[in-house]
Amino acid sequence: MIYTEPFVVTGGGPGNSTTFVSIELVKIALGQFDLGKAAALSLVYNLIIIIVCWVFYTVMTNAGAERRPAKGVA
Amino acid sequence: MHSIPGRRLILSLFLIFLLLPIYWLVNMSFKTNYEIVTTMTLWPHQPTIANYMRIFTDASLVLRLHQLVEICRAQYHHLDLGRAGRRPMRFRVTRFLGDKQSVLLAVVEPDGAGSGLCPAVFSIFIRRSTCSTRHGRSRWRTCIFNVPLAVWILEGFVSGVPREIDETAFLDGYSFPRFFITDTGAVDRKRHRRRRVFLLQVLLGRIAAGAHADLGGRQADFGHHDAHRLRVRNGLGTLGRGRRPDHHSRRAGDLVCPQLQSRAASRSAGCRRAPWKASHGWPGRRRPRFFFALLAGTLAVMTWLAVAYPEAERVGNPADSDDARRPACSLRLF
Repeated sequence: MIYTEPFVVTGGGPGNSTTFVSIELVKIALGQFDLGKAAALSLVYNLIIIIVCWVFYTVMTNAGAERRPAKGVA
Repeated sequence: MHSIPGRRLILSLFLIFLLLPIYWLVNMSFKTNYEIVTTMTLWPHQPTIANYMRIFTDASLVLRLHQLVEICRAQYHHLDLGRAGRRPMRFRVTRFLGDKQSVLLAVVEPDGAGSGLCPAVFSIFIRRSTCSTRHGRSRWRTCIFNVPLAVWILEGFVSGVPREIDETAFLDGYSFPRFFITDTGAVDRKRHRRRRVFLLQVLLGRIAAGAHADLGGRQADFGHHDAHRLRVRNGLGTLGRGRRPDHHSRRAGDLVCPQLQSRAASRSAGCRRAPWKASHGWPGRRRPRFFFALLAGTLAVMTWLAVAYPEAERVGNPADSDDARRPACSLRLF
């Protein structure tokens, strides 16, 4: 998750150029107090991360399995 | 475990306790703000998908694609380095923070002291094998992938600049190719010297780290498997406690450097010459040639780009102040 660095260094600025989704979530939930939208956005964000993780994990696990030498080969 | 009475009940309660925040989040996402702040209900009495509609019709979320790419990049590094870090360098390679911090420093304060420190940070990371992976080719991929991505993130950062300033910059000759060339050009110019040198060093550092990691990774691999293989080949078989030298050499490699580990393993295997030279061909003849050819090619292309787009081409009155003639990409933030 990218939150600390842009929050500390730029605070999301200039404009919204370094406002990542995690920072946007906090702004929506605590700044605007729009809890419904923040909840929906966090779920969507979570879903995206899960999908990306799954894809990466699957691809890299399969790649590792392909490279692994067969047992008993000197 | 099976003897604990009420085991299923405890586990169920624990599962509910774990899933409760997620359920509450789902619950809230289908409620209106009025319902959220006025009543506390276990399920939405007037379910609505208005919150989701607002998200997917928000243009700013679509425009933040580069953030998702950044997430993918972070995941890529984490998974790739984590998977590759089964060797002694495991605890170093997973702490891959130098990249983000350096890029942010370069983004935020391109002409400041922080960005001047970036090469030093990178050299420290490279020297301590922090950027190492087991396979050199993953370093090559990173080298090719990261620098354009860093420039792309910079471009996304610049897109947050107000339109009026942006238009002025375009009148001054700003464009994305120019931005890329100006920031990665190899020829020194006074104005963007530090940032260009930084990005160039990042690129060269990546290449060097790729070569170094390749060597280190191979040596690390040797310590585990090839020592045993060589013992078998030299007729030593698995006499005695065959895995002990591996263990010690692994510790040596972890504490000092991968080369010592490999030497120790080589000595334990009864081999005079460093065996990775014979078995893997690195450091041999082919890869250094390829490495230097790529390095020279990169330098040649970057120099050509910098020469092909000289500073004099920029449209603008030479009498203008220096700040007015700066492209938008080099706006000072602090």
